[in-house]
Amino acid sequence: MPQLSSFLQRPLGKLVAFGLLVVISLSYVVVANHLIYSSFQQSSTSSIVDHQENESIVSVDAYWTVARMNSATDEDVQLSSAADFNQGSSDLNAGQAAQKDGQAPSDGTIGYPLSTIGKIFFSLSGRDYVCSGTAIVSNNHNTVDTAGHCIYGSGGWGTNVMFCPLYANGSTPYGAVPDGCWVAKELAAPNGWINARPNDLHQDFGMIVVYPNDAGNLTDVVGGAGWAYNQQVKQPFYAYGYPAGYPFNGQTRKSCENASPKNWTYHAGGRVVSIPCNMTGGSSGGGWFIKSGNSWYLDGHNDFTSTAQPGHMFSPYYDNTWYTLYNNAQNQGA
Amino acid sequence: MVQQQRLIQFPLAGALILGFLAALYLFVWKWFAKPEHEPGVSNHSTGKSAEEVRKYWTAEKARKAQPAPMPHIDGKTDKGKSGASRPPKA
Repeated sequence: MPQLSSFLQRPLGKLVAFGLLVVISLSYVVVANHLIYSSFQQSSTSSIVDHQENESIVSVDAYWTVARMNSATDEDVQLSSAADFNQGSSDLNAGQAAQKDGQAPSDGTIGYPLSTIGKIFFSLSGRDYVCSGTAIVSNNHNTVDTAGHCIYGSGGWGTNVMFCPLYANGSTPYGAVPDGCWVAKELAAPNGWINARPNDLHQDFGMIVVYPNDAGNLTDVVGGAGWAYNQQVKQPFYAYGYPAGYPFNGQTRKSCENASPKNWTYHAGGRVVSIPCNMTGGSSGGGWFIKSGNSWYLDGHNDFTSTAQPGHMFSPYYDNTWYTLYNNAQNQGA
Repeated sequence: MVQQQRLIQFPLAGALILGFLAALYLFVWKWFAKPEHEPGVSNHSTGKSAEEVRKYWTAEKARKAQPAPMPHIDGKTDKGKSGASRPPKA
């Protein structure tokens, strides 16, 4: 011990001790950071199969009357309703649960909440894409809920964003595309999504505020979906969207109804939920509803898939981050 | 006297080293770390009128628009490398 003390008092000894402390400290920092932020792998998109449509949009404009669109909504294909999973019903660190009832569409013949679901067209990095979304009850009557990656990706915001409710075969009950659609005025996403690292999808939320069109404010016309957040993950979900990747063609709405959820306390960077559902690319952003009595509440959306649970669709857990984003959007232009 | 000076210098040098390491740690942490729940919202005005966007979406462009690539996580690799993916509560 006296020898060590003597060594440490020499200049060389001090230098060695200092060097050791620096190395230990840096090792600690590197290991701690590695453990905390370990899922940095780049997302793979290899499982998405694109499918190009060959139908003429113009040729079907006249076909899609309101009555025909109504009957079309009844033809939803239920992709999966299996209740064959153990439910993850425990809610850890859940915030204050809240919900708000929806608003029926002005046209009483169009069924709510399906009337609020639509297809989104947008451009990103010079390419044109499709996603899905849900018109949501809001102060400005013009807010659409979707996935963050449908409006922001590759370091930039989407352009030419347009929401087409009740889309089917190139048209909506309010006119052919693009006249029967509502065009985006503002886009919003959580900073947690804007700055997300690869594979961090738990804040992949997006909101679109649209201009009114000739038919009026969006939710005055199509209705606004009620919403809920910080809910327990134990009741069945009803998911909708416009999958366009193989084997689907994106021309009609599809659904995964009465799907039993799994609660993932940590996956894709945070808390997420999954349901058995085989929808593909293009369905991103399509709403997940829960039902209470006769009321329907938006409480998730199609977002990503994972090899951790093949055959499942995942959604970020709708929590305070989602509500903050929604509240920000619903008051823009209100 | 010399021994007393050494007794004072040694703790002082240690304190300086610890202070330096603490500062270094905070600097490295701030530089590399990112809070898991980053608060706040980013807003973006599209800057285009509805007419401009409608004009952009010709029937041909709408027909050719591709499905947005759906993110996919290689959960097995995630687990194998880091154990970061925790299975759902049963």
